[in-house]
Amino acid sequence: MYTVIRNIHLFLGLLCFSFLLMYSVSAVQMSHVEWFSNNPTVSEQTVAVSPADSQNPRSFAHALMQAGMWGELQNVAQDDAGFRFRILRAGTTHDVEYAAGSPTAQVKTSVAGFMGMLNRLHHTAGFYRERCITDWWAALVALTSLALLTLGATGVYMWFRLYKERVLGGIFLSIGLFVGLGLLFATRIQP
Amino acid sequence: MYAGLFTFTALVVYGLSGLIDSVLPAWSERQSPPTTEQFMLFTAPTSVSDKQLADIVYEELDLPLSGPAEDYALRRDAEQNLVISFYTPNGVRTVTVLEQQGQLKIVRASAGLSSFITGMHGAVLRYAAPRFLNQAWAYYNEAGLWALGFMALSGLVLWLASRSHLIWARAVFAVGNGAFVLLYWLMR
Repeated sequence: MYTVIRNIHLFLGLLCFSFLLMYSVSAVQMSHVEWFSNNPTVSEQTVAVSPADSQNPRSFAHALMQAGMWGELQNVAQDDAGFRFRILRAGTTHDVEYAAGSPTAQVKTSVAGFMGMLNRLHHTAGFYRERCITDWWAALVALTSLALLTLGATGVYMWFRLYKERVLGGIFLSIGLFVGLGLLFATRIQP
Repeated sequence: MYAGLFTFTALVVYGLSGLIDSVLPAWSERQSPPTTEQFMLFTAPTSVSDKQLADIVYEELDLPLSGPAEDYALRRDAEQNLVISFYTPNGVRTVTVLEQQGQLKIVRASAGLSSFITGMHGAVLRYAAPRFLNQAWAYYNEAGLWALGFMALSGLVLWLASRSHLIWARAVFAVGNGAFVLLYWLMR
């Protein structure tokens, strides 16, 4: 039994190593933003707008996505002066501005650095983005989440089977559970 | 081992949060939380900025689990009343300062258990309100996120030092981390 549990722990830890490390590093980045340089690379380009797309920002956004600027469409705003929107995916943002009557639109593209990309990957989950790549990512996120819970359970089992470590380990686990669960409960019951 | 035992609760919160975010729909399709509304008497001082007024409201309400409102949480509604959002792990309180009526309108949106868990998983030191429970959990959470990275790296070292001869382990490592690198590149 111990060998099986240990192999499961090893299997899941190795399989999800990069994901777990990514979550840890990006969490440190979010907790201590000042420790990291997070300046994106920004570029601008002018893109032609067809007469059909000039009246419909969503149509123009779809055309841009077909041309390679794929991602989620956000912040669509339109008035008499024109329209603007954002196409967003992990690590890359396209901000599009169009002035009514113009044959072109301005596209400002921001590409995140490594830490910025990890930050966005940390926030990417769920199967609602309707894109194969993000669905694959979402599946691996779900797998990593299950793996983390299993790693915790198998880790506790393996500790308990180490007779010499039971007292000290039990102290660490007891204090951790008292602090962690206590804080969760105390927070939850607050008005 | 000791890092994992001490931060076990935090690790469970991380795992549950990941599963919750995996199954929930897009933000725009999520059910709005139930809200309650109440009014209380309040005389707004004159000649103060929106931020100063928000801080006075914060002191007046003495909300547990919440800190003073940041600039991004302040806005004016159509009637030019100041609207302040106070965020807590248990939900959001939206306070409208009705200066003409001498009242505060407090709308409380209560977070469900799943929102509470995802909120607590993201409650890092940088954003923790200056309240004991918020700060204490943020420090425990800080230990958890460092422990996660430490255990991942130490686990790798332990494998390489003791069981690196296992072919299946090498294959699993290659597959899992290859998938990460590939998806990182494709999603960029």
